[in-house]
Amino acid sequence: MTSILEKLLFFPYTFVLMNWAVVAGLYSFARGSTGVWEPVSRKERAPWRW
Amino acid sequence: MAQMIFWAAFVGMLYVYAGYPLLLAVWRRLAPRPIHKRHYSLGQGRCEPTVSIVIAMGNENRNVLAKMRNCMELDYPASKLQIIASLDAPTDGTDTLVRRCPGVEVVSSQARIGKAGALNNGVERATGEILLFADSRQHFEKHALREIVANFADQSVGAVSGELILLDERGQESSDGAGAYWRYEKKIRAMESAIHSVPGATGAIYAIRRELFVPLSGGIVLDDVIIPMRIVLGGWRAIFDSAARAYDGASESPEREYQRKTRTLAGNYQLLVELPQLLLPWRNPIFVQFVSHKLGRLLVPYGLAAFFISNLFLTGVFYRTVLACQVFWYLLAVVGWLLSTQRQSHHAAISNPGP
Repeated sequence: MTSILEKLLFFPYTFVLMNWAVVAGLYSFARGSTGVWEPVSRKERAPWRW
Repeated sequence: MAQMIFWAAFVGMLYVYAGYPLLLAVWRRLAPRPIHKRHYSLGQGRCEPTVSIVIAMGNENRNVLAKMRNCMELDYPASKLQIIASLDAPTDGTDTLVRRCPGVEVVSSQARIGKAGALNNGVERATGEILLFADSRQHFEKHALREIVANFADQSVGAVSGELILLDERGQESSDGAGAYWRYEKKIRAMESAIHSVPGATGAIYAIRRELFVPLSGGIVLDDVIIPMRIVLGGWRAIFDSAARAYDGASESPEREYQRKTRTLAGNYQLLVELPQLLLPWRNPIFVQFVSHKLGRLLVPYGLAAFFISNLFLTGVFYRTVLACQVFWYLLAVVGWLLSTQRQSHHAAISNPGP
């Protein structure tokens, strides 16, 4: 039950964050900082992501 | 004026998230273009085409051995398979590790040239009829290569994207915010593939005919979108095959997904500069899909802002109710943000219990 509630609460946050990423992506592109070797980790995996 | 902006923003966003998938569903029903997939196997008089797996790597010492083992364990004749690790001047010992792997050809650059440069170098070495591109972190399913290659029996197919499955900590397909979004995205890709082509592949697993590869410009972020889109512009199909699977862990938090998204979305703007003909309906055979799927998503945040701001200037029960719903939605987003921050502090406390 808690898990479902958490998912419901996370959905608007994820939606807003992903849309903000579009704006941040434009800013990043405009600044020319579009490196593909930047670190982004995923759980249980190595902390490097293109 | 405010009313016009309100409704234009609403209809535009509704089209991107609901109208477009609905359009695809109808389109697929009315004008499907099935793929004539054919599995190759010895003993049936049809031999498998030769395949070169090209993996560009930076600092990947934690993934490289597992990835190479995974490639060698694929269900595909070893004599038809070439595995190329193209190294971009790693500094963490990736080169030493990869050279220990038997049967792996290593291409290395002395200085950093970026992923695009590493891919170009890898393809230069490749001899296979089919090129399979992959990242080093994700794990292929055993039959993934056989499944993806079978699509090239259809002579209209120039590129094939496999399916990336994001797993949660229980090893099941992730269904939280980002996981749910990815599942929605894959459904759209499947429908786009059924009518013509997908406007982009999955970097974790995609394959192309070797002769269709055009060297990438330096600094390209989304090779998995630019390569298939060039192929589509050349008159071929770029399809999605959910039977060719790769697995990865889901992002540990929405913030991590945000970082990844920011870079890939920056790559989408780069795509428009690199291939401006994508915006010309007479040049781009999947113009509707490209505009609805790729461009539409880039416009949604501005639509959301316009929707909210215009709503502030509108009176009447209906508009006030919509405004209340919007405010409630953003309040929920703030609660989600607080929960996420709290969860991360909790994880950090567990990871670093202190003295």
